[in-house]
Parts: sequence; C-alpha cells; structure tokens
Amino acid sequence: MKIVAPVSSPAEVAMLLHCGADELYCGIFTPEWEARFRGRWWMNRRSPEGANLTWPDLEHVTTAAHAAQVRVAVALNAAFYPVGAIDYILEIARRLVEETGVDALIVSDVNLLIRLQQENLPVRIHLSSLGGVFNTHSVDFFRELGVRRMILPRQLQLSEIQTIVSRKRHEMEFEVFAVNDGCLFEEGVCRTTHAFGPFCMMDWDIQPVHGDVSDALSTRIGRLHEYRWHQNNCGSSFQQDGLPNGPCSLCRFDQFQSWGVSAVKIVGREAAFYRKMRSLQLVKAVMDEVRNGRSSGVARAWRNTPEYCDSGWMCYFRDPAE
Amino acid sequence: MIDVAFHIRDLPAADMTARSVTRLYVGDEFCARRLPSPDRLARFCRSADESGLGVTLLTPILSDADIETHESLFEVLSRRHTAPEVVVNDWGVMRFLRTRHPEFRIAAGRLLDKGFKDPRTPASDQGADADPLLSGGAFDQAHIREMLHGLGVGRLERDLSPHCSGTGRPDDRFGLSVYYPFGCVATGRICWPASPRQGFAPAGPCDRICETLSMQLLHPDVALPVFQNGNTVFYRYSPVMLSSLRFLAESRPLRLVFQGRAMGCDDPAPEVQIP
Repeated sequence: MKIVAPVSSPAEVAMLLHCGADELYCGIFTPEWEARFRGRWWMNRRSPEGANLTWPDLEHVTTAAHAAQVRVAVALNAAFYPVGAIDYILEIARRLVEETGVDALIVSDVNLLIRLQQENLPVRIHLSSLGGVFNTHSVDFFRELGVRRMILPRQLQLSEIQTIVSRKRHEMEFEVFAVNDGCLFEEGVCRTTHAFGPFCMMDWDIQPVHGDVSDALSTRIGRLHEYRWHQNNCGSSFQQDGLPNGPCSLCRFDQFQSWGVSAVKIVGREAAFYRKMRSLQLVKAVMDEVRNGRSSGVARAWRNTPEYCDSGWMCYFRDPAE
Repeated sequence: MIDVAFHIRDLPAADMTARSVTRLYVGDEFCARRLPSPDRLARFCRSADESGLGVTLLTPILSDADIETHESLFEVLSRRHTAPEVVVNDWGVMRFLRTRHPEFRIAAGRLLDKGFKDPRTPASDQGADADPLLSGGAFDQAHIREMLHGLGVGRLERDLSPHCSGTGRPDDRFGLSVYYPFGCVATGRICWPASPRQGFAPAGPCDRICETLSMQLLHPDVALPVFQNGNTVFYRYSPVMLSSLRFLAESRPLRLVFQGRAMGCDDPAPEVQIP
C-alpha cells in the first residue's frame, strides 16, 4: 500500500519525499480560468490561492518527484465542467501530459472522462472520490471509461469497502482516505462551492417547518455541531505532541492491506507545511507497522485522543453496528 | 394539458386525481431506507393501475448489499403489465438494471446531472443575465447524452438551477422531467437529523425522523429559501422560477414532478401552484 500526499508548493517536495510519500498529488492554477469564472467556480475544488501550483512550480515538483521515482497526479476534479470549459480543460490535460509529464489525472466529471477516453492521452486516469463509487457495478461502469484507480468516497461503510475492493482488486486499483478533512455531505452529490465557504459549516438558524419538535430538534442540532467540529479536524487542532487531530482511518490500515487497497491518501492540498508534514509522519508511522506485519491498532494510542476516537465521529469509515 | 407527476409516500393520495396527475413517483432519490417494501410497492402499483396512472420508482445511491436487498422491489416492478419506469441516481445501479432488467424504462436521475446549484450565489449571477457557464448541468453536454442514449436511457430528470430558469437544449431522444418546487443542493449517506439512532454512521439505522420533521435553514447570506428533510438540503424555487417553469411546460413536452408534500413541506403558495 502506497502513501499519497498533497503538495501545493515546490518548498514542500523535499520534506514530503523525505518523510515517506510514495506518490504526490496537486492542483494547477491558471490565470485564464480565474479570469473566466471570476472565482465562482474553482478548477479543481480548491482555492487558487495557496492550494494550487503554477506551471513552473508544477514542472519543478514533477522533476523532483520523478528523480525519486515518485509519481505525480494532478487534480482536474471539479464535480462538473460547464460546456464552455471542457475544451479548455482538455488543453490543460494535454499540456500536463505532453509538457510536464505528469503520471495521472484525477477526474470526476463523466463528460470529461468521456472526452479523455476519446483523447487517449498516455496518462493514468484516477477517479476522484466525487465519482461516487458505492458498489461493484460502478467499478465496472467507470473501468469502461478508462479509469485505472478509484479514490473511494468518505461515506462508505467499512464492510462496503471490503466488498468492493475484495471483489474488484484484480481489475482496479483502490485508494482510500487516510487523514484530515471530513465532510457532512457526500462530495459527489453536493452542488455547492467552497468558493463561498463550506456550505455545511455555515451558522444556520435551523427552524422546524412542522409541529412542535423544538426539544427533539435542539438535541439533534447540538449533536450536529459536535459532529461538525470533529469533521472540521476537531476545530483544526493539534495534539500536544504536534500530531494533527481530525478524521482518519489509521487503525484500519491493516484491514485495507489485507483486502487489497492500493493506496491511502492524505487529504489537504491547502494545508500548511507543518500540518502536511505531521500528517505524513503519522501515516508513515502506522504504515510501517503494517508493512512489518503488525497491527495498525497502535494508531489509536499514537493519536492519544481516546475521547475523540471513542465518539466514532473522527472515523472516516464505520459500520453502523459498531 | 401539462404533464404532472406526483411523488407520494402514502396511500391513499386523495388529491392526486384532482390535480390531473398522470403518473405516481414512489421510492426515494436520497435514502435507501425510504424505499418502499415490495408489498407496499405492489399496493402503489395496484392503486396506480386502478386510477389509470403510470408508476415511476425513484432509486438512490445503493451499495451492493442494498442492491441485493432491493432486488425483490425490482421484481415486483417488472411484473407490471406496462413498461415500468425507474429513475437511477447511481451509475452502478444503472449498469445493474440494464443488465438484469432490460425491460425497465430508465430515467437518469437529477443526482447524475451534476452542476452548480449553490443557493448562496449572489443576485448578480442569477436570472436572465446569469453567466451561461454557471447555469448548465452535466446533462446539457452532447457526450454524456450520447452515452446515456447508448445505455438505453430514455428520460432525463432535472432541477431548475438557482441561476436560471431554463431546462437545457431539447433532445428528441429523451423525455424531460423537472422537479418542483424544490431543487436539491446537497445530500449524503450521513443523516444528522437521524443521529440519535444512526450515530453519524453512513446509511445506518434511523428513527425515521424525516417522516415528521422538516426544517428551514435560515441565513442572511442565502438568496433562496433553504430546507432540509432527512439527509438532504433543498432550495425552493422563487415565484419567478415557477412561472418560468409553467411557461416551459405549456410550450414543450415536459413532465413536472411535484415533490412538495413528499418532502414533508407544505404545498407552494397558491399563486405558484402548477397547474
């Protein structure tokens, strides 16, 4: 199982390679896109400021990564690209492959997948978690569109991951989330943009439409706020030893390996250097346990936040019975 | 006459005949736990037959276990005399049904019609002057239409975008349905209103609070009224959007799917009811 880490600056590359990243992924920033969409619709679901690379930066990152035999994937993973934007994205894709030599494109828009399949560029296609693979039939659907790896969505149960991966591991690579950044909704069926801030994190005044349910509703709203805090990296906090808090699947790594998962992903292209480094160190330490044939259950002790783990609300993947 | 379908959850739906309804929508696009039992679906089908109405089964995202569990539902539907219609919102479910139930008429659900439907969009980006690049959806594009046609899909199901009141370029290969008075903003397999039982586990057991509780989400920065029922957030169409929808329905073949009551919310105000 490989570790896939985010990069948003050439200054991070040496650190990421030193700390054990097996693959890198990033986004690209182009002024043309920003001019056209006035910041309303991000090209790859992350702010152009601080989360994405310019062309020269990407070339630097790719050269350094390839020198260390590390693959680089670029996210072109908006949930959808409007009619007038797909041709431009295809131009970007060609340039990424032919001039920059990236190894994979991370895509979710079905129209773009179809166009890329027709284009037949010499590049691996990875399906973003926004593709929404919740069953083995979807694996077959996207494989026929040229997908080589699937990043599985957050809102899968553990047993569903096991079913999908164990049944399809010989036909498809699977990547799952390892640490950072939860989501209240399922990304693949959320039509909002973080360009206006996370919709689910807004300070809504929630009022019942029907009946007098204020007591029951206030209890549920209280739980919602608590859950959102956990999903938001526990208020973007860190442990005393500097390890980042937030959603994770660390203690499941040994199961992922036995089922045939190909890679685990550290979320957070937009994260600061320090959070990226500590996230990768945490993931690498757990991965080393698994690679040495030991249990990943040690992650819980390293987390050193049993109260958060006990809630279950920091887990990406759970089965309802737990 | 405008073609109106009515999404129902219970029988009898006494007022459906009074509304010139031609079809019943049953099932759910957002939650597998809201799919009817096979017996209940059979009762819906019988009732629809007696009233001379068509039946459409809505389906949500389904896991492999869900698909196995609900095979009997598809069997019930396939035993109907007239060609049954199923709305799919999951590419895997579409592939499964094409293989296992080629007799079904498949409609591509609105969750597959990805687009930009953020109700927080500034007023300057809405209405007739809206940026056309922000007002479309995946179904507007030729490549996905070609693929859907090749998969045997005969109908596209859509919302009105918060940014414009059009329904895209007509295409003789597909029927077109538009839901009203709500468009879908976001959904998922975690249902916070059901958290006391579900515990924020995806697709976990629940106390069916969605059957009795709908909420309005209020915020000064949001242009359209926003509601939540169960795991899903909706925006309610403005009177202008509804008027535009009525005009479209009168001028071209268009099925309107009324989903107000099924969402646990009241009907829209009388001046915007269709028909």
